[in-house]
Amino acid sequence: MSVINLVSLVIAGVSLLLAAVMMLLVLWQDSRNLNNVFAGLFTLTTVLWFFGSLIARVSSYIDAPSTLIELGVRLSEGGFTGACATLYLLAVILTGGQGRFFLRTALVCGVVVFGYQIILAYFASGPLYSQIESGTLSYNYGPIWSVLYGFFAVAAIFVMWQQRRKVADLLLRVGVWLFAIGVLIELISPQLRNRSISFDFCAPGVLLVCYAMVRTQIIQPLVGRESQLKGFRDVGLAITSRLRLDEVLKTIATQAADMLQADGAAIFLNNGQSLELAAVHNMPERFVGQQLALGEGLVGQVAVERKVSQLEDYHRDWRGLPDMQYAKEVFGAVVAVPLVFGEDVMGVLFVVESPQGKRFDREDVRLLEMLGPQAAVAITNSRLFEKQQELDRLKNQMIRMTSHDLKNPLFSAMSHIELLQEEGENILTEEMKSDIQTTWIQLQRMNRIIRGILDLERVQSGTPAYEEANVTEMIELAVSELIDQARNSEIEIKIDLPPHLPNIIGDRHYLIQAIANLVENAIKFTSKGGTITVSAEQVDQLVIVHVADTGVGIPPDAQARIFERFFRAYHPGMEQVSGTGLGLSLVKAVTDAHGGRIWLDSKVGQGTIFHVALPISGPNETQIVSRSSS
Amino acid sequence: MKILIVDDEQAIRDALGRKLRREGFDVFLAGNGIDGLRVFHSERPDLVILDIIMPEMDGLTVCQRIREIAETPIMMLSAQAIREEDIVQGLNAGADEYLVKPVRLNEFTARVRALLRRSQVATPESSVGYNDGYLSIDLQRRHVYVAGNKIHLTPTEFKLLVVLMENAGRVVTQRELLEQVWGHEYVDDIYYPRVYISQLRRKVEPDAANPTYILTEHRIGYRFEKRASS
Repeated sequence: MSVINLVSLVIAGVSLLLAAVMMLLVLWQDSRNLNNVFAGLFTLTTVLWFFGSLIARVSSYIDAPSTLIELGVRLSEGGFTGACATLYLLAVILTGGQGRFFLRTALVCGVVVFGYQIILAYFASGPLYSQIESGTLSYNYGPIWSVLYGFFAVAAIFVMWQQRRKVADLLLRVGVWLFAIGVLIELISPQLRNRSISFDFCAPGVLLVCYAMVRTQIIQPLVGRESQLKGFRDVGLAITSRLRLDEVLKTIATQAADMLQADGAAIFLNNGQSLELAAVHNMPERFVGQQLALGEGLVGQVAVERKVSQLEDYHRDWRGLPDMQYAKEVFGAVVAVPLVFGEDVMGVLFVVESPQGKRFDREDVRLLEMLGPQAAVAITNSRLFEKQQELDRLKNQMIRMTSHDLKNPLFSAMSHIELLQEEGENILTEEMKSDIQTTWIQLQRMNRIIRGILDLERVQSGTPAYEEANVTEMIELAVSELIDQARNSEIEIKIDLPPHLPNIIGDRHYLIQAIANLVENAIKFTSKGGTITVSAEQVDQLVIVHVADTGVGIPPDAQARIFERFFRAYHPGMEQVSGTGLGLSLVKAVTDAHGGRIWLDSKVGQGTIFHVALPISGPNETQIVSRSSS
Repeated sequence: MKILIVDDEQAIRDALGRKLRREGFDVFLAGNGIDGLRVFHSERPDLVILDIIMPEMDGLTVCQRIREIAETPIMMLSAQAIREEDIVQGLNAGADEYLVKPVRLNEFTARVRALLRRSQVATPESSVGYNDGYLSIDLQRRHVYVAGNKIHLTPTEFKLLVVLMENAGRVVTQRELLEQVWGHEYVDDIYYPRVYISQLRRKVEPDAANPTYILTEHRIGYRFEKRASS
């Protein structure tokens, strides 16, 4: 055994040891992955082959008993057979070319081949090898075996070449090819001595394969995590920054496909009974709208099972109903991810590759799994948004209908009462006149309620008309509207204003109504003999209007809700007070529209003071520009 | 004085009709837009009161049809006014007045009278018209010419132009405009000047988007600027 021979053997041994360690790492990381299992077997058999060969040579070199040499040769032979077979199987698995019965067939073949070898070992006659000189053995494979090994090697090279798009990692391909070349060299020269040359190819080949696996499965995910997270964040932002459902769906499909560099993506939405294809990326738009029953197709199955499902080759592996038209013809690798929000499966994200396209690895699937909940939230969001818009539209429509359908009969009734009052002036009895007056008051009340709803709608939808408004005048007008009502309740209204108040920019009509609402509210909740004081002052660039009463006061827990629409605080003993619960909402809406602020101080049993602060310059300029048309 | 009321609600028609008859007007009633137009053609009323939402033909369309052939004052009477845009739309269709239901009968008749007054009394206090070669106003005959062509202005538009012209060079506040053009009952209807000014600009300005005659004083009012004769 020459020194060069020895050195190459040592290098091969170290390479294989390294490869074995790497393989252990990969298997420890994920031992269920078929790729890893076969790469593991491949490494193991190669190591066996090497050590068998090593034992045989060393034994021969030190003139050990022939049984030891024989054992080494047997081990080496078995290892070599296994390595050749697993090389081919690994190539097939890496390219995703395995058929449905692949595992079973491989297992049966393995059992047959190794069984045959064991039987040979026991019953074979004649020497397995001949010793040419000390440490150099000559050994022959049977012709059938040679053909078989050759076939495995050539087939592995061919498969790896033909399906090279599916094996993204160049090192993996080079590793397999190196090993196959080593095997062919081994077959060309039958002498065991020359096997060390084949190890010069095979050992680096195995090392490359193992390193490639470590790289793709362990190193790359770690190194790429930062950029992956950033990419993922961008995707999340893109998805959640849309509000219209169709845009959201389209964005999810596009982003998912881009993130995985996949050929296409589709989103199916769950409508309760079935799944509807709602958005596609890189697929014919005419498929949109297609239905798939829950449980049908891979997508339907994923929706029911709520678990990610992945196929390496849709055409080969999927036995159920096709998910889409021509799916069997045009889909290669596919991943389907359920979009789950809370308890509900909102839909399924379906990412596909063409049959020649790449395969999805664990990282790809993991990314999609992470994207799933985000997408589900985005979908839920936009659905809620659309629902809310629909509700808004309905609300506006209802308000319009209310205005028309109620105002016409109201106007008609009011007009006839007025006519009756005029024409019956000299005919009607006092009692009749009083009845008519009551009817009139009730109709007025109805009118106020309707107007309150409409005004609130109008202020909130932002169409006040701004002009320069005199605060003193507005307060006096508002109070004059209610002076009779106050007098009837035996309540005194005081106005306490400084001589000079600046004019403010605002909508006179609404401001007067807001002040009137505050005063009216005070009248309602103040008992006989009470006092209401309306005052105002300038504080910096604000005019603050105060409406104080000596009424029942507002309990603290009601204070927070008092500006809500239709909210009416409960006041013991004041149940008879009528109202719509709209008055203060309008005050709040008007104040908000003017860029102002409203707050209150109240003590139960002592009274309430409402404060409304309005900026003298009105709402800020941008608001005015958007609100005035000329 | 003949007044035509078009409203699909019979009870409203009757009440308004009775009220106006008692005030001494000749009243004609119609229950839909098409009937309304027919009565308009046969009776040639001095004032038309239109509901907006009606079967067959809505009030806005009726208003436009009438405007194509006559400058008869038109009052829209609708329950529909929720937003300023609704009112603007009505006025843009050619209405002179927009009342929102429900309205007190006394206010209603007051508005009817004011509208009639506005349209009938030609008020050239000064008989001096205006002529700069491009725009010319003949107060006597109530004619307005733009670049030599006679244009049609509704009574309200004409009055608005005259008031602005008579105060040329001075800012006329919205309030003053409302009082002088529409009447003191109208001082709160601050949409009117805005809508009418834009309507008027479209008719008399060379470029309504960049007015040179009728200028806006932001938040205060409007100013008519005379031009040197060319």
